[in-house]
Amino acid sequence: MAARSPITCHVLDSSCGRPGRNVPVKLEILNTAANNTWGGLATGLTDSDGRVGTLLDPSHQLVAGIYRMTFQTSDYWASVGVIAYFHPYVQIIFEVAPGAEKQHYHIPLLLSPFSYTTYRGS
Amino acid sequence: MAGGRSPITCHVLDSSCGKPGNNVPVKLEMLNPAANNAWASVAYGLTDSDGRVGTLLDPSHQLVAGIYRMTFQTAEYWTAKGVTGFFYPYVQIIFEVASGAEKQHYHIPLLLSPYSYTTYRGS
Repeated sequence: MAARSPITCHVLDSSCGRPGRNVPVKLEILNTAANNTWGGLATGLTDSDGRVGTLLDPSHQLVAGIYRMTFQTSDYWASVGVIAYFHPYVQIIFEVAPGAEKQHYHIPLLLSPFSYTTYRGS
Repeated sequence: MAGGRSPITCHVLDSSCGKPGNNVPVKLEMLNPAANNAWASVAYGLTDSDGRVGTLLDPSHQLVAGIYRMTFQTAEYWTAKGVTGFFYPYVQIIFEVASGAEKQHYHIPLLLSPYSYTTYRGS
């Protein structure tokens, strides 16, 4: 498999059965040494398959810690002409545990206007 | 429906064992755009044996339109159950009470397992 970002995402719009494209995605890490503020790591926009091509460089070595991925879902709904939705954005907070820094972390988001699901994918 | 209830309610269900998620700390905040978009604390509770917080807000509380955030301290729940492998230390659900919809009821279910969760607007 070609090298890829150690953290990847995939947005699927379950209300129409298609990838969620042009969703702004932001990845941050909790900086416990800086009074628990969130430090920006990467931003991207999902492509026509609902994925961000290279959120982090494949050579990026993850450090253990708490990460937060934010999906600006209101931008997405506006772009597809949906005006009624419940969650203006989705934030998924997950942990890269000590000892697990070399694993891959895939964050799928199954999204519809009044519901969403996420899980640790691969 | 008989008996007033909190205008915002929640329900945690542990889908890994098919039971309510009890003793989950829940925090409700509201975004204050007039205070540089800081989050203001609105209410706090702990889920009961049915996975619900009895009275998060007083039934007489009139919601204002805006962005709310409900945080479930799921790490505490898993730790109390002896589950050491889980992906999400906590779950934050950001939702909107739209202008004109302030008198509606807002129910936030959380279907939770160690490596997945689902939420939706319930009733």
